[in-house]
Amino acid sequence: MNPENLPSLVKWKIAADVYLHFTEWDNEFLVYDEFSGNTHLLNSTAAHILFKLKQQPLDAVALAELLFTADQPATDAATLVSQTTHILSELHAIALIEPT
Amino acid sequence: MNISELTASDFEDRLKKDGIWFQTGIFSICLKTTITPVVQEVRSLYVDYPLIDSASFADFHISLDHPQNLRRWFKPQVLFLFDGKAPFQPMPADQAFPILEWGLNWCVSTQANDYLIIHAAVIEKQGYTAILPAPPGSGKSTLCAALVCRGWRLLSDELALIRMDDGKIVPLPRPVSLKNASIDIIKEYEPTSTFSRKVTDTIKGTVAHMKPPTESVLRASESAQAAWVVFPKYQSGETTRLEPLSRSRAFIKIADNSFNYSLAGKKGFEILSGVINHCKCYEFTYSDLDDAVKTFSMLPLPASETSHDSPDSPSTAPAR
Repeated sequence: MNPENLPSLVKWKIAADVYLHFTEWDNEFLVYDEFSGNTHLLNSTAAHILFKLKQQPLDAVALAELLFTADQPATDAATLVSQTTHILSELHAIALIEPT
Repeated sequence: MNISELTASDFEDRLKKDGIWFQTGIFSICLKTTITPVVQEVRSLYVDYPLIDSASFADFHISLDHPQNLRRWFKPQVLFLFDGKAPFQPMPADQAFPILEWGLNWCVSTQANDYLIIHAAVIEKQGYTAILPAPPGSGKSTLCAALVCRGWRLLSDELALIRMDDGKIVPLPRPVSLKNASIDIIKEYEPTSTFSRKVTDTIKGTVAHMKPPTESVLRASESAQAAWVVFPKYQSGETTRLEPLSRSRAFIKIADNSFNYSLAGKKGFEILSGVINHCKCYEFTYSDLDDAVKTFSMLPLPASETSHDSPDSPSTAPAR
C-alpha cells in the first residue's frame, strides 16, 4: 500500500506495536520507539501529529484543521491537507502510524 | 603503590610470570606478556597507574604472547588473549603494543554494558567537561592530545563511558592513540610528551601512543558531568570554526557514534537525553592546533535547561 495514494479521509492511528517516548529541544523532537529501538528526529508538525493521533485516530483533513491555526501564513486548505498527508506518509514509512 | 615504584627488573619479572595487576579508571587489569619490547613500552606509558593486589578481582585478564606456530622462527607474531581466548587473528609481533591498546578498547567496548559507550574523547577543565564524538580520521585524537598537553584533564581518548544511573562520565585515561602525520605534529606541539615508538604498516597506518598526563591518571576516580558536546573535524587549511548544533541533531550524531545505544534501549534514550540536556553542542572545524586550543578555552558555559514537553504529550509518558 502506498500511503501517498491513500485518500485524505483515511483515519490514522499510532501503530499497534510502537511505544513512544519523546524529548524536545528548541522545537525539534526526538521520538524513541521502544518496540523497534529506533530513534527519530521529527519537526514540530510531525511530532504534533503523533500527539494528536495518540489521543484519537484522525484523517489528514481533521489533522490539518487542528494543526494549522490562524496565526500561520495563509495557505489554501488543499495545500495544508497535502502537507499533512505527506507527513503522514513519512510517519507511516517509519512505522510509527498505521491506517485504521 | 603505582607502577613507577617497581624496579625495572621487578616489573619485567612480574609481567612475564604472574602478571602486572593495575587499575585503569574503573577497570582492573591483569596483564602478562613475554614480549620484551611491550614490557618496556607498558612501563613507559603506564608508569603512573596504581597497582592492585594480585589476589583481587581483575575485570580483564590480558596476555600478549607469540603464537606457537612455525612463523615464530622467521616472522614472529603476537596473539592478544582475553580471559585465555583469542578474539583476533595473530598480528606481526612488531605491532604488539598497539594491539594491546586496541585489544583493551575492545574489551571495554564489548564488556562494559553498564555504561553507555560512545566513540569519543572526553576532556575536562575547571569542572567543565567536553565530549568529542567522532568517527576515525576526524582529528579527534590529535585535538584531544593537544588539549591535554595544554592543561585539560584527559578522561578518555577513545571511549566515553556514561554511567547509566546518573549520566556522569567515568574516566578511562589511557595512552592517546595517534596516527601518521599526527604523531610528529603532537611531538612538535609538546616536545616534552612521552611517546611509544612508531609502529608502521598497521591496519591504521603508522601509529604511536602518547603517555597520558600524570594528573589525569591520578584523578581517574573523579567522574564528571558533560557541559559540551563538540564534533571535531580536521580540515587542512580551514579556518577554525565553532558552529552551534541543535541538541536533537547532536543526539542523533552521538547515538551514531555509540557502541551500545541500541542495546541500552529506553534507558539509553533517557540517559543520553539527560546528558545532552546539560550541554551546549557544536560542530568544530580546525586545522591549527593553537587556534583550536584557544577556541576551547573560550567555550560558552552552558545554562542548564530542562527538556519541556508539548502540552498534550509529556515526554515521560509513552504514546502507543
